[in-house]
Amino acid sequence: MKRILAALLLILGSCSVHEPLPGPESPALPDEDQFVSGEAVVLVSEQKAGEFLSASLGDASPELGILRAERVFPDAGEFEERHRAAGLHRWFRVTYDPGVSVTKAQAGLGAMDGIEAVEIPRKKVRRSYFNDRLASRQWYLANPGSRDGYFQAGIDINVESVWKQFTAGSREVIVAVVDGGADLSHEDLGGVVLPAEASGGSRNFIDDSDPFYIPADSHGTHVAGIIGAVNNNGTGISSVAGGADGRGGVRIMSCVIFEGEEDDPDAKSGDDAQALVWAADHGALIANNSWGYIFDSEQDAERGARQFIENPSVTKSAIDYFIDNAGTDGHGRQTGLMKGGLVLFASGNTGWKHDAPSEYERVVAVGAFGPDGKMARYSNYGAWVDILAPGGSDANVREEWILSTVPDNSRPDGPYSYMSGTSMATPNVAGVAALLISHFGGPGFTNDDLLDRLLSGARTGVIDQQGRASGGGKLDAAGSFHYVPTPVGPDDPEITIQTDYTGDYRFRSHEQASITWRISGNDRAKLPVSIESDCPGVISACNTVRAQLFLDALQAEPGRYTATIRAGDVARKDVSFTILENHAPVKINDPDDEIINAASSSPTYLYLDNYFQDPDGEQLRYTVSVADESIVSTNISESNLSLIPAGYGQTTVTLMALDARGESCSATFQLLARNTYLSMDVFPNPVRDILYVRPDSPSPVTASLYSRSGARMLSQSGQAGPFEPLRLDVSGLDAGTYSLRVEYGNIIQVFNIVKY
Amino acid sequence: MRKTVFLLLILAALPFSGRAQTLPLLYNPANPRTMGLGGADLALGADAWAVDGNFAAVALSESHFAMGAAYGRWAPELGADNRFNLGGWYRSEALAFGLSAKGSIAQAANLSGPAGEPLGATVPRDLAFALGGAWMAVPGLAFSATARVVSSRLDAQTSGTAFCADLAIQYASGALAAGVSATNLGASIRYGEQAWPLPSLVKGGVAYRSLWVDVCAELDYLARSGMMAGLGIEARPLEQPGEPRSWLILRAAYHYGPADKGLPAFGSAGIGLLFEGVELDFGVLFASPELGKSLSAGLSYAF
Repeated sequence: MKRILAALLLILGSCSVHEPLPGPESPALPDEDQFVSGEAVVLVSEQKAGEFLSASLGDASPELGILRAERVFPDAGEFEERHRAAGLHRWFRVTYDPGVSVTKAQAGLGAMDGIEAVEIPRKKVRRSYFNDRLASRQWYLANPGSRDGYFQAGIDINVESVWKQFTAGSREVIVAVVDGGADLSHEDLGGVVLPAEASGGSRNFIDDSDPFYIPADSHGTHVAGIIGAVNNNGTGISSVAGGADGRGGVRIMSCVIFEGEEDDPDAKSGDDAQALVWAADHGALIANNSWGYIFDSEQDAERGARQFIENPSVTKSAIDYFIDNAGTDGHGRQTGLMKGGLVLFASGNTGWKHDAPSEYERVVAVGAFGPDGKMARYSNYGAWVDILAPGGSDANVREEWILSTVPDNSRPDGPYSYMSGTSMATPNVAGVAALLISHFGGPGFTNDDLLDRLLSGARTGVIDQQGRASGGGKLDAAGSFHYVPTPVGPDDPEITIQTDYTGDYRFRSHEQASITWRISGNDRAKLPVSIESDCPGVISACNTVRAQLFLDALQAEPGRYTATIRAGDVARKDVSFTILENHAPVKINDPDDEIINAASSSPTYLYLDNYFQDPDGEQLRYTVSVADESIVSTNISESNLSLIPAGYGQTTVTLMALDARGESCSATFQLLARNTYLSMDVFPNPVRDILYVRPDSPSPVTASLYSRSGARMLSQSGQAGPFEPLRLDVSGLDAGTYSLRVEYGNIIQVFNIVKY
Repeated sequence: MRKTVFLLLILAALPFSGRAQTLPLLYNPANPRTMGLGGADLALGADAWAVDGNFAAVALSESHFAMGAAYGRWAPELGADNRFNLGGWYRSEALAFGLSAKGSIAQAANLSGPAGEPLGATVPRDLAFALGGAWMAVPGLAFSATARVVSSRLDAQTSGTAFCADLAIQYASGALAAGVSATNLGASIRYGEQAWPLPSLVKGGVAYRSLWVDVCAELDYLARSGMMAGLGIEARPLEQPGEPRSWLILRAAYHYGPADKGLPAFGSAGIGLLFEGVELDFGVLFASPELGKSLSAGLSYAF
């Protein structure tokens, strides 16, 4: 038996990424720049864990230059037994020669006897968008709307009625902010942020830092302020759960894993897994994580998320630990207002469909929207996003972001600033969750109950997701408070699967639909929930209390399909649904021939919905083609066609209406670009053969051509119009100057004509 | 005389043919006297602008010198060309020499492309310069020849130049006079790659002259257009026998021409004011919807 390295010191210095590596069960590293060199976390087998620290690791793998090893989760006293039951004692941090490549370290450690998995820490980044100062406007608490539409009334977390009717936050509720440090001395956080003490409270998890030193950080202070800045103290801002009497509401446990600003080369990051476990063991019921891993690309994020979900990870273990054990004592008895914890993660600010750790199904992933009711384009999205909360708009307009507390007192408006990002959306959810615990918490109240209220009370269909389908609805505090869960008797073991959907399960061929089933029952927390369907257009998102089906009918052929919702092997619900046949668009009106002013650059507009209709009620997409693009240029915006003069002449314009399945119909019209300031056109001049006389509207016209001697050489009468001008054949006339006399209506005009 | 009448009858029988419209300046009345007499003054005595009329009459004139300038607005109902006519001559015994310049400047024509797009404007203009010579062969019979150069500009890309000549005969005996001329004889004018024939005319006229009134008649044939005719009267109501010419001259005439060729019909009137050899003349056209209100004014001097 190979000697196992005696002492492996676990370092989680600047990383909370625990990327499982190729070893017994670890995938390959995609890009070494995303990982912290010189540090690794290993999972040791139960058999070897006890002697791991005593093994001579340096001798076992001299090429790695191992410096030290230590347990990630040191002996936890009264919680040690529970830690061991959760397997936390098997995680070790190893520090090795930083000059060794992470790939080599990965391979070398993975080859050691007793090591089941090797994680190389990923570099983390805080999920905040900006750090700036602005005037104080907190639209996210109560949005009055604005005339220009950038602020929509009601696009907020709907919390005021909760403050009035229920609670503004109880001091018994502790929210762990796993982030940079919250400013204990801030004027609006007095008495809110727990001091750092040996027995509990805030703590610093950065290696080489004093665990009792809580450095004031902009990002961490901002997040803490959103959750619990003191309300009603005549100072600074209001917060979601900051109480109502001027003395504060919920309390903040600042778990420091970031130190220094992002652009600071000396910035440090700490052990997030330790932070989560500490928070769970010391009274926190909610863990707010406004941070995530760095990825180079969306594909890299997808890969990273899959690896995080499918492979062992110390952070994931810590997350599970928090969810399962927060609010309980070492024996699993409920000690706080809630049994079990809620872990929130910001979904990320890259606008991608994947992220980690937020994509992990046991956490609540929070996306962001702006005051205009639109989901921010920077917000990561997908079925795994559980809820949307105010994070600020995409625009570089401070008033549209989130105002909260910051440490810097040198600002003109004091220590307050605007930031935007899913970092700011997440503490909004944490604050509402804290309010729910403050009011509903008590014996028997579980994290499943909280999650049920939080997610079921969210309002769907309110936020414009801008075509980026995401799960969940808009965070709605009042909705969560007024939500009535399905009653379950104490002895009722039955698991029920129910939905509020009242439709007929018949969907048009272009529709996107979302149906949510609630999982109720005493044992639901232990059951895996899933949705299976034979329809290729179905994706699903499930957790212990909810199964959500997303249908994109365009991804499937019309027909009949089924979906099965399962809660383990205990409960099952089968539903059938139909994707209806698609009908091609039809033309309802022929567009009139159009005349535009070639002497002006002003466009002429056509509303295309006047000419086409979709039998399925679908919003059609339009295209336009022009036979001669030197006469007119076109632009289509939704259903509006702009015709912009580019020259003179007549051309054919073809409109095409298409539905989402590509079926189409078309219509054509003639377009004439002329100088509409003139009531009569005579062209070309000089003329060789045919002279055109064109009135601006259909009318009887008489045109007579005279020589300069007064002889009437030609005379012609007829009905003429803009698209049917009068044609005079002058090819038989001698070269010279002529006078064209045109009579139409009561108008007589004389034009000098040159014939050559 | 009989041959002349016979020739005129032959010409009158010719069918109307062709549509000579090029360079109308060369056959439209360009001075107030000709305009007032409806263009029928071929057989009357010479005026200052005779180089452009019947220069042979200059050789039979009693005056030795004449010069004049005229300006007119032509066809205001059809665009109003501006026209001018300068002329002068000198006679010494049986020979006479003369010069003239006349022109027509049209109103601006708005140019447009094949789709009606605006391309600016052009001002078409025609100019003609002539040099004439006359010789009295025997008393009462004279011949003349006039050389003319014409420049025409339709637009910036289209212009042309042509040379032509006039030949004329004038006979006078007592109160009667007769004249025959062939005008604008020459090659075509070329605009770009295409050539167009000049408006050649054969004209014949007679006149009766008395103390108080002159009556003139004329028959013209415009090549490719057909026959035209005119009858005019010039009255001097204040004339006294043995006295110098009175100061007042009145004119009236009627011109006949086809409506769709050449020079269409019109009525005309004119007035002249004479003092010490200086004559101020005015002429106006009427009774023509196309040419009505055309007018000309001129100042001339003769001795």
